[in-house]
Amino acid sequence: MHKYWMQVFIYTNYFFKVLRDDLGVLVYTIGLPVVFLGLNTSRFIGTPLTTLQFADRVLPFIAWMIFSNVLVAMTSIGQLREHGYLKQYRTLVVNVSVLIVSELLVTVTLLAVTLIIVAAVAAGAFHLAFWQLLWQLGLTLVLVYPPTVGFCLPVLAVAMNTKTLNAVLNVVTLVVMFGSAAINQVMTPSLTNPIINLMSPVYFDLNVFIALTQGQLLRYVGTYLLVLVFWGCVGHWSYRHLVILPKEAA
Amino acid sequence: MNIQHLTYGFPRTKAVFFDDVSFSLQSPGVNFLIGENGAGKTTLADILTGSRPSNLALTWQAIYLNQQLPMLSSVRVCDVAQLVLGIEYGERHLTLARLQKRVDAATLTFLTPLWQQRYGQLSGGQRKLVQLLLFLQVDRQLVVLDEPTAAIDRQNVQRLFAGMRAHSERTYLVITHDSRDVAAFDAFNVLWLHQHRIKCYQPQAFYQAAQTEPFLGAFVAGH
Repeated sequence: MHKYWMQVFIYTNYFFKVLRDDLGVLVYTIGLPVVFLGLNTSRFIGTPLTTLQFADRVLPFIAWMIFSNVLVAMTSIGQLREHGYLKQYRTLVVNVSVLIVSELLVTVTLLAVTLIIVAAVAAGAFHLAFWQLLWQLGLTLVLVYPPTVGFCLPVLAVAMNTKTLNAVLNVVTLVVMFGSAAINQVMTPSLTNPIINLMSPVYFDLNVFIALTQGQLLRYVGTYLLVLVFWGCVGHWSYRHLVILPKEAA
Repeated sequence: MNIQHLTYGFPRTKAVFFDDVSFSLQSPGVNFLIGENGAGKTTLADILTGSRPSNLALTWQAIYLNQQLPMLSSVRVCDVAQLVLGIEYGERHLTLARLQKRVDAATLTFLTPLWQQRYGQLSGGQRKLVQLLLFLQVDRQLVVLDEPTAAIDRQNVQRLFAGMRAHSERTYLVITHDSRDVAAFDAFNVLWLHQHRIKCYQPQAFYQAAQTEPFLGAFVAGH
């Protein structure tokens, strides 16, 4: 176990180096959400918002950001596979999950940094308590991250070349974004609606935040566990069927 | 290492690619896997390293060395060493001093002047050799090298082979199209993969067969 986490540490370091190698992309990755936040909520800047209003206006955007970041992390592992990395490194590491866990640690760190900036901006712009908001956003991230990983892991269980991986990334991101927006237009799903929570990572993240901040935890815990177990099983199945060989070789 | 009754078919096709194939690897020792393009050399290597599930029960630990992997050009050679040997040794910070006791002399001689150089500043051949030599230090019973000498000058090829000889307790399976690789060793075993079957040759038998088998003849002649 010690060796496993040592390997995770070394790969996480390497992936951070990859990220730092292109500072422009790093600033873009962290800064873009804040820019979008400013554009989306510019008319409310300076107006005190309640946490519920914050959830309504800002959380869908944060939820989409969490989801898209995890999906990008998964497709980047897929791209490493297409370059032959998984095939070679699986014979070196204790377990091929070392690479996935390392990539996910980098992603969650980036998300945490982004959330700190979002909380700071939101606290100033909407007169919200910074530490309380940061705690709520951080806890939301911790709770939604594992099911989101389970949601995205199937990308690695299907043999796809780099072009197809990129296409799948774009299509899934758009479907989740526009699908969630469409649901919002035609209905007001309840907090505990199992189908909506299972199928829309955006609604799921939003609902977790609402449950945490609006004292609805007990009402929501069953739905949360359902989502966690369902996507946990999907993630486990996907990991068991992880494609190691590049598409051309498979 | 004896491979008995190997049967394998690609998951998406029903056709059997290897049907009840048996052969032996000189173990320990150097084995060359040769054959026409598309004969299935890499497929066989994938099976022997466990990347392709088959009916074989693998009783050995293997490492696979790809033809070349992309690596971030801004990292230094010491970072690449960390990524390969830090992983293997379970060490967070790998220094050249610590490496001295753990790697063979040929590898140390090659790595020492390059240790702080950026990977991107090395020539293509040097980059490949850095990775190959580092992976050769990883302790596994079976080491599979997929065309390791392609794009490397012959002086560096000698360094690679010195690294292999320094770990003579292992079994090597080298995929190659270059007869000079075979000629660099006195003792070896050649596995010729042809029409989904494998024929094994010891050195003398190999050169005799090259006089009658056109493919082997062309291989030895360097065509």
